[in-house]
Order: sequence, then structure tokens, then C-alpha cells
Amino acid sequence: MLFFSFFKTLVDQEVTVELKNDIELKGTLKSVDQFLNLKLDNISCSDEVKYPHLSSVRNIFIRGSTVRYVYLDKNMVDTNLLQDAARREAIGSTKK
Amino acid sequence: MSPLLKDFLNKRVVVVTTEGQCVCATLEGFDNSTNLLISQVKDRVSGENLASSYVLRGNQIVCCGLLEDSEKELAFQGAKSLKDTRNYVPDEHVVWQQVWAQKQQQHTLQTSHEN
Repeated sequence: MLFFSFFKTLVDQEVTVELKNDIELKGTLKSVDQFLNLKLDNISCSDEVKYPHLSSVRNIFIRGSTVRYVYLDKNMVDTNLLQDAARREAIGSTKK
Repeated sequence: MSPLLKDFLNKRVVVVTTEGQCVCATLEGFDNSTNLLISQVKDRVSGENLASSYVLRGNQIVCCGLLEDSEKELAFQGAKSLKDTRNYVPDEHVVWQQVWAQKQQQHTLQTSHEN
């Protein structure tokens, strides 16, 4: 659940999501759920000319399993803290 | 359970599938694993009526976007078709043919050596 919590801290920030069908969507992260399904608002597609399918769509739901990358700004994430938390979670799960 | 799609219920949405199909439809229902029940299904590019209702299995869904302007149901004519989400090597069979040919060559070399 670590990355679920992590994404929850990113709500209302501008992110770029690359999907597995090579489409890149830029928008404001509105919500996220336990499967890391994302909801973006005010999206813009990086290649609107080639793929006009999502023009006149602003609010979009993306299924978590089809996300390849989420691009974040460097100052949005404290990598040391995240790494630490990931380690702690890994230790916690082996102890069980 | 998943409340993310609740705002889209009974509205026109654009659904992209893992096969690269893009349809425009009215969202009638959904569940926890993103299985979607949609009605009045139209192709997004050609505008062709596909079905009066569809059940799409969750693992076929890529994204589901709310259509702001119901006048603009059609994307540009002749738009490039979307890619699917599979990750594959182009002409993979050619690569394996080459591997096979190499193996055969090695094999014949070895046997001729033994004789």
C-alpha cells in the first residue's frame, strides 16, 4: 500500500502518464485507488494530431494496469524518504 | 467500490481498449475490477453504430474519459488507429528462425568433427 499512499500525496499536482499504447497524457492528478487506477483532470495529449481520439475529453479515468510510466517533477518526490519507506515495508512483510 | 468512475455514470464516455479500439458510449455501470457496461456503442473514428450495449471486461480497458462536448463524438476522419498495449518484438519469428539455423549449423559442424 506504500505507493497508494505515495500517489495520494501527489493529488492535485501536474503529472504526465505514459500508457502502454504509447500515448502520453498530461493532467492534474485528481484521485487514485488501491489498484493505482488514476483519475486525471484537464488532460492534454502529447500527440493530438496523430491520436485525436481523446480530444474533447478533459476528465479521464486510467486503469492502473495499463500505465507504463508516471512522470513526476523532481521536487514532488523525496526519493530518500520513499526508499526508506519501501525498505521498511519490505522488512515488515518478511517478518510476518 | 471503486468510486472513481461514479461521476461518469449515465454520461457519454470514450473508452479505449487494450486492442486499440476506441469507442464512444454511455456508461451504464461498472464494478470493482473496471468491468464496464456501456450502451449505444459507436466507433470513435467512423461513427458506425457497433452495438446497443456492450460488457467490456476490466482487463481490456485502458482508459475511460468523459466526453465534454457530445457534439464532438467523432474524432477526425482518417485518424491513425491506436496501438494495442502488447509488448512484442517485431518479426520475432525471423529471430527464432535465425537461432534455429545457427543451432543446426553448429550441430552439423560437431557431427562432421566427430567423424
